[in-house]
Amino acid sequence: MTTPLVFSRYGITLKELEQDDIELVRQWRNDPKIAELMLDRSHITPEQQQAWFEQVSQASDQYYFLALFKDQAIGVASLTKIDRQAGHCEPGMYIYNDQYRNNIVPFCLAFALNDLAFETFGLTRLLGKIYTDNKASLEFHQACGYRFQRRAEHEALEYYSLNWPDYLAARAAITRFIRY
Amino acid sequence: MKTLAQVFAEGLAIELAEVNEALIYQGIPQWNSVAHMRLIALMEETYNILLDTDDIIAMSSFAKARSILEKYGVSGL
Repeated sequence: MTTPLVFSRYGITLKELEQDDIELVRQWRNDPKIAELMLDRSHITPEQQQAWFEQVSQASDQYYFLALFKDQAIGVASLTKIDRQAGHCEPGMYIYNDQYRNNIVPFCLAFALNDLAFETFGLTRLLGKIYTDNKASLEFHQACGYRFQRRAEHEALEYYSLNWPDYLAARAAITRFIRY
Repeated sequence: MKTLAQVFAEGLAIELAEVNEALIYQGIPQWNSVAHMRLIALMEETYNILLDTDDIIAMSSFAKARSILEKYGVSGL
């Protein structure tokens, strides 16, 4: 087995998901407060979770991470649909712990993940899909520098994109408050 | 100088009448991460302080904000 990828910035550590993490992540993912944020909101069984983890472990176009803050597991982050030739991927994240869900910590997590995508993976563009009624997610993406691209034809979804210069400007506006 | 209630109303983009001692983080949909950081920026600018990141995270209610500000010498709000 290869050594799991670990990346730390802004007080957040992203640790590539391992077998011992997947039951905790399944329980988080099945909690309605997290499930309602997902594009696929169905209940996940232990067997489905195991099959998913085995598939992810073999894939080279997707990475899932346990997010830790002050050595405490607080959520999950991912880079999926990684297209190294086209230079883009889709980041995703959620924070389970209520005390960290609506302050500066989501930005710390998003920026750690984005830095990993841009700097370590060498990608040039990050892509986001947002339900049109998810105002909080829309505001968060915009605060991270994402720009509207288009609306889906048959779903209440909007597509957003983030490039490096826009990201740097947005990141600087928030990281000035990170004073560890 | 703006009162803390005025700063909260402006930062969270809510009516001044909605700001009270019982106002808590996640108690209203407007208090999301973007609004939280807008509130922090406004607080630092208004009271000319630099908040520690741990205090930014700990600012989980209107009452808690007042007690944190007192640590920075801002009182009587």
